Amino acid sequence: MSINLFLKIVEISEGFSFVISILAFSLFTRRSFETKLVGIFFLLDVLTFIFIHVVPLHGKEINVPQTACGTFQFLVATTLYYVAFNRKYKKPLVIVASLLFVLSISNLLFLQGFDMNSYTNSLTSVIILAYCMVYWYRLMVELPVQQLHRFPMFWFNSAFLIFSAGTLFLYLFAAYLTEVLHNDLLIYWSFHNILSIVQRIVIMIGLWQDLRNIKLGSSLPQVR
Amino acid sequence: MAGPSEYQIGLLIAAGTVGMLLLAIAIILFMVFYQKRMIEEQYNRQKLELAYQQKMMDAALESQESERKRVAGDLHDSLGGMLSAVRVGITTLARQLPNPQVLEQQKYMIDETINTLRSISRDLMPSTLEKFGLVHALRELCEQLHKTTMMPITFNEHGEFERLAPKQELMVFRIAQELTNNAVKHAQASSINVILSGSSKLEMAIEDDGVGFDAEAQRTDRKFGKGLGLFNIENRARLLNGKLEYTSTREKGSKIILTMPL
Repeated sequence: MSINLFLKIVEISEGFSFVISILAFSLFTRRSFETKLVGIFFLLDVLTFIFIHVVPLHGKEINVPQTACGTFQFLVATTLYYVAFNRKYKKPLVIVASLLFVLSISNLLFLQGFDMNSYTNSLTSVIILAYCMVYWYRLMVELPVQQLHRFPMFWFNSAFLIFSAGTLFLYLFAAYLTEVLHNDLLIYWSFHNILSIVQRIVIMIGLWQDLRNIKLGSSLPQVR
Repeated sequence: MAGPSEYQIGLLIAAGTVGMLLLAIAIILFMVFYQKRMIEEQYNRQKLELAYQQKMMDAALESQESERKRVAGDLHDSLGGMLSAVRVGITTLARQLPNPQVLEQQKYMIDETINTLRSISRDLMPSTLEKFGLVHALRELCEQLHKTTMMPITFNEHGEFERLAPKQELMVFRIAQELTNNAVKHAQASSINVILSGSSKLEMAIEDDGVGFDAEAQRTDRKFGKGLGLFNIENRARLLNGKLEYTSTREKGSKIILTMPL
């Protein structure tokens, strides 16, 4: 695996993030709140990518904006699931988000510092997986729509589930690989970026479904 | 003691990642199929509930009809017979009196009572419907209403009509009866038209030039115990697999069309 190929994959992934941001904010007034939050989520990604390329960062400093981006993305994801849970579980979600925020800052300042903050990432993945499972459970109990594939949040949730499930083991072992085995993570991170491309493609299917629902001009067929 | 090698860690990551991804995909697929199955079950349950409700409705209407038939029979045979006997008795008595005119008023009252009784009995169970079918029964209904209200009530038929099942004929007749009665009682109409047409489907339209009505408001009233007539009409239409269409404005009166497959 060459560094060029690795960078190419990163660029493709960021390109998808950019497209998602544009799509999520097109027809702004008619888009659902969930879609706008997804737009913000990926816009943060794009802004971080631009920041890294604009600001002259050296060595491990490059990890700092990415860690900050991950933390803010987690807050956006929590808001997204809060909306998806019909604005229920406000207190637990606020507690979880606050705890993770504090842990993330503490990790950045006192533990992993300029290294890749894999502890924060692992915890984020576990929490996102929990959000996904709660969301599936609610979907199973409430049966809100007749055609699940026409429900944008179904695709958003699937994308988060696939990405978090696929990257959890990478994050768990990232610190050991870099600190003990001195691995450059190039192959592992290429796989991580391929997964992020898959995540973005699934998100785009959700956005397309949302657009389709808007164009059809009717609400989704509800289960009676 | 040396820790796990890079190969072992790599293997662990690969196995864990593949396992997690497979689990994620399995959960997504499970959700899709579970949702599909649940919706199918819900649909089947709704279908069963609907069928049960229809059966209940059918049974309720049937018992209503058999009760009407019994009351009509009792009125006609028992009370009607007794009144006729009284009428004959008064006539005989009048013949024995020096001045038979004194009983003319009583004879007139008994005649009126017998006529009213026959009319009630006919409304409860129209014998014309059983003997000659829907078209004749509807024509008779319009004629009777015209006689009692002096309002122009017309009946028109288009197409050929074969006799329906007795139960269906009775239901269509009851709908017509309820709608014409509503037009007379509540719509302040000055004329009513009943139009029956049929080919592949039967269509019965009842229109008046009255003040019109709001079907939705009637349905709301049903919750408070009013609007039962409309409720019965809709139930009967449903049992006939028919469809009711309401066109109602204050300027043009109302038009209600019942369409049912033949």
